[in-house]
Amino acid sequence: MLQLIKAVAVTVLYLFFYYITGSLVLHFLPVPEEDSRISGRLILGFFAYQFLFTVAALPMKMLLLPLSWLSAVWAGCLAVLFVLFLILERKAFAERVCRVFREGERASLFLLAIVILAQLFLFNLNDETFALWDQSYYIGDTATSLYTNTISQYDPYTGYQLDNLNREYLLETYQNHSAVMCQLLHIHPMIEVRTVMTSVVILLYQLIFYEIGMLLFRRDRLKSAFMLGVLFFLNLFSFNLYTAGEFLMFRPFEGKTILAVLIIPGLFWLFLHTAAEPGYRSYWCHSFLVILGSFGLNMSSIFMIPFEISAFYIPLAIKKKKMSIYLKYLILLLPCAAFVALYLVTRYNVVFYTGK
Amino acid sequence: MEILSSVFRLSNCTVLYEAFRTAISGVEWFVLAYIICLICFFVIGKDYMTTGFVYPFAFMMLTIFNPFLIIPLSEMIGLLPRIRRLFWLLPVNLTLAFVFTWAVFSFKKKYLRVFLCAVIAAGIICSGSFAIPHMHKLENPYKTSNMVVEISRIIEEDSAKNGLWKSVLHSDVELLELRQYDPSIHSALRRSDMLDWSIDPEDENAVKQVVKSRHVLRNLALVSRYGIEIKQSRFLKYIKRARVPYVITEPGRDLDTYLKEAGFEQIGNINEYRIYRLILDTEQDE
Repeated sequence: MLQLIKAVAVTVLYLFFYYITGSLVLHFLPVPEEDSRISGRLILGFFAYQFLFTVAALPMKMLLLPLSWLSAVWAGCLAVLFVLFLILERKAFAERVCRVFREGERASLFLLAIVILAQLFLFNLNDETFALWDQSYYIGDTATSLYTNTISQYDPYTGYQLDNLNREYLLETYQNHSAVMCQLLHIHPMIEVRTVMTSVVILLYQLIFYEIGMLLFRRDRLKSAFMLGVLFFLNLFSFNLYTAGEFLMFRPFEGKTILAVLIIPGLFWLFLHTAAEPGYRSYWCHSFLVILGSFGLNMSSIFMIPFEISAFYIPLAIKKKKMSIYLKYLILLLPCAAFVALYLVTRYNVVFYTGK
Repeated sequence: MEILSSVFRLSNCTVLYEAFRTAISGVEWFVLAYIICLICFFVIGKDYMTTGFVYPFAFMMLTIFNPFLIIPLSEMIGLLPRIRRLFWLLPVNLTLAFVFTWAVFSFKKKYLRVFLCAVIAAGIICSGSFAIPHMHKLENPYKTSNMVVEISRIIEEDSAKNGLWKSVLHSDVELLELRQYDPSIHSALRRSDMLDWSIDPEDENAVKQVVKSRHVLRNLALVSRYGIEIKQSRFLKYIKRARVPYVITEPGRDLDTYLKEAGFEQIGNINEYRIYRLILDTEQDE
């Protein structure tokens, strides 16, 4: 029971940090008031938060610094974010929370809550993943980093020190974040990854699709909530080891699931915004931020994101006959190109010896 | 010329088709319904439908799902083993959820809405592949099996009592969770000895080659993974060299006599997973 309470508390804490990060993003890159809901803040906040963590973690990982140093730095960063939030967004926060209940139609809020809670319960009650090898890498890395107070310097499968950092996963910092939070919050890695992150991903997935529904149904909350219910039902009947629905239900905590169910739909959500208002710069900037945040979450983003944004923005540019869309599309490709270059350099040309 | 031949290969189509077939297995009707929805969107022609769904799909068909483009490119960038991930780009369930919701709310009368919901639910149930039977109810807050927790406890207690290094020889995939639950436990076999390496245990030459190679971990894998009983003295030598005082045998693998004769004693049995520890005198011989 204590573990459950702890997991719920940590999940709420994560969501709070995503919210404050998202609020700060929207403070500097605002969107129309009717589109700056709590859900949107949480989604943007998640990606901005992950990007900030990648910036903090990558150099420390490459410099082979202890995990406790990274934990200290990250705790400092979170404190700074919190103070900035208090200074810039404190008043708006309380107002926004009240507005959810004031403006929200009771039926749609109730339906939304039921759909989300049902999925949180159902998927958290399952312990089957069909991916023991992958899981052993991800959770094993978190657990071993925590145990050895290092950042990914040990083989997650055996627990013995590696000769050099794993080149394939070098740029991925998602597991390192889990290790840092386990160290800061004294929570078991299996609970952090398999309950807290599972809940976070399921919740954010619902929010992204709720936001997409709000766009497709012209801000009709009831229809959006209903669409989420239908989506849940469809996912429940989409079992196959390769579908995004299966990844969401069985292994939501993995980086590749985040790619399938948060990054790809997140970019789609922002694309729908930009398609509706191509001249509005903030949505482009938000897409840029989502792309930046995605590389630390899963390395497959490197090749999946260019495919996705090309499929969105090239036809849009052709249809609207606007050079500015091509230009902004090329700007969105820049972080992808930079990370591909970084990946190629770290994969084939640079070795980070652990000093074993 | 070589590039051209790699592009215009018939096998590119079969590779992509095979990936597509496995990626949609069980949800074929959903994909078909998705394509029908896209055609309807195109005919209706509303801006958000074409821009959001139809044109990206058409672009993907010409590029990302064009076997003559994507397969050579995938080979080049090392994406081929992960090519099924490309199908995540198709918003199949989202499109269906959107259309079903739109259809339900297009009726004004409540009983018609309920009726349509029932029809849609029945259609999904009949044509999809249900996930719940594949789920397994969690046994503890760690979402691992109680067996893993129990084995970890036994090793922890025994190592604390005898001052032994917590290193285990096992080759059961279920036991990969041991290190996630308790990272202070080391595992002798690497991924490259379990997942990425295999032999045919019936092939005497292959077995002989491994034995001859004197590769410590591969020889330990022969015993642990395949139940091949190599010379006990040699097994013991490898066990000591790898510093592995604990061995766990999986259900159905009878190494009891072999391990006992080699100098191990059984210290636990959880769900037919037997846990052995090197008899201390033998360990101290080292």
